[in-house]
Amino acid sequence: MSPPFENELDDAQEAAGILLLRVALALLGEARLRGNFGDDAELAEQATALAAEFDGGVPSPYPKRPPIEGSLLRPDRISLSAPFGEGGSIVESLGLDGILFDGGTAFGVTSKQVEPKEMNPEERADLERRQAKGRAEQERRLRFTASGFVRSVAAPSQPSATVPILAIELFEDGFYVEFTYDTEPPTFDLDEMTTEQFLAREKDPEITVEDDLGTEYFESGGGCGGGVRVSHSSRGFVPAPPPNARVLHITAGGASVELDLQP
Amino acid sequence: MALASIERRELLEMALRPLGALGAGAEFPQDEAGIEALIGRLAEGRPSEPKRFAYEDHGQLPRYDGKWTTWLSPAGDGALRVRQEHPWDLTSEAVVLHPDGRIGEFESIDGFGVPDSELTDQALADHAAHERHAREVAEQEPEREQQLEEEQTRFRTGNLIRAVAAPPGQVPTGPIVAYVALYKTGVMINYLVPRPSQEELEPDDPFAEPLTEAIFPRLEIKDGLGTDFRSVDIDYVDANSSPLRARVSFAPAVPTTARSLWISFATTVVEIELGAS
Repeated sequence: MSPPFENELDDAQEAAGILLLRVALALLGEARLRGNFGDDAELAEQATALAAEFDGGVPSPYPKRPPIEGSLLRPDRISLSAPFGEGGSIVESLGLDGILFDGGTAFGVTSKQVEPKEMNPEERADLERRQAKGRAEQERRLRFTASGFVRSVAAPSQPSATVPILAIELFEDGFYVEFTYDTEPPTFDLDEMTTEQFLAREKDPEITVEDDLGTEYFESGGGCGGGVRVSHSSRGFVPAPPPNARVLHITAGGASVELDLQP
Repeated sequence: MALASIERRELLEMALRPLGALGAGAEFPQDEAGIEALIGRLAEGRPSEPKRFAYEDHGQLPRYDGKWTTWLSPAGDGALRVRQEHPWDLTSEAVVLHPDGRIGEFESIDGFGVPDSELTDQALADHAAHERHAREVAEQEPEREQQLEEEQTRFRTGNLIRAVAAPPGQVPTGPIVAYVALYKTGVMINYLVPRPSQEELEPDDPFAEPLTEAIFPRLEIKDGLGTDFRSVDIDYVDANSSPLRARVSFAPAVPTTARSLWISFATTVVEIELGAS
């Protein structure tokens, strides 16, 4: 895997972006006269021909895709896509009034097919065990819909905690643990970052949850927000604590806190 | 990515608008009144990112009004010259746009494109305004740094006092407050709002933001002591869920003498008893 911040990729992206806009201008130049962008097939053909005119017939980075793909959203709106590099695409939508919207850059993942390795019975059994475990975990994760909110329980004050627990948000089928921790801005330049550094950036701390009944809780989604020097995170767990559970022990950053679940 | 390329892309994005505004016209107007009328017909685009367009005389020195303006001038043969200024360094990128959407060569302009001795009164005035603005920006730098430091550290863990749960049993059809987090430097309100229907989330207007409007309804807080709270940050906690989960932060801190916090949405008020600090 190559670092995602390389100059070659930037150059390809620049060229794709300029080409897409030149094609957009020429398509609009015709469409404005007739009051619509024509039909889908005609548009796609025209986008390909214009791209060839403007870039001198440089082949597309993807053999099966033209340098600019055009498609009709409605008679007065089109979508254009310009592939670049390995898996990148610039996309824009254009209205007959000359306004661009829903633009962005997408990076896909490229893959190579490898010959499957012959496994002995022991290896095959191990693989099947791991696959079954993964499926079970996935099923548990999907169980938490967070649709029926019940109530929140605030955590007691934890003055010396590095990862203070703020509260839990209880839902009918699971709960979120809300916590916060300090972060620092990266000390290295994003443009110079290697793939290993990129992947090793700060990760959310581990959170474990237990109750007084021995219920087994599984992580199920969540997210984090905040600024460059602090994070406020939300970690989902399933199942919801049983009604007769009295307390929840949450451990984060090497410290534990007890939340009283009784209303 | 090279700055020149970004500037060229931005220029071409701006060139689309007069072309769209030309409608079924055969050529771009070649006089001031016609170009001003064209500018008057330009589509506005995203309301939160207004773009400024203005007319400039053909053959005159380039104008810099410090507003990132796209300047339009007649280019002959029914074409339009489109120039976008870059106010931070007094440079411009320009291109000639033909009525069929074809463009000429890109033209990069440094400053006014002539020696200082040939600057007109208007160019001298624009240059002086640019220098004045640069000085003001430099003078405000320490204040901006202090403000940034304050914003970045306001809700760090060292400032956390405690969290307080909102009362259960709130009406689920409207916004529900989940809990508040009290800090020495402000307060965070965590709440849930019903998710709009899929139909509402796919409006015809490409610049409508129904999800943002739903997740950040008008929200005010009062502490009964008359503290003037201002919103300092908004944050999606979970925009994919149903209900949606969000957080809005306010400053200053809730005074330790406050007994309750009233959180008001358009049709709901939730009182949170703060108890002993």
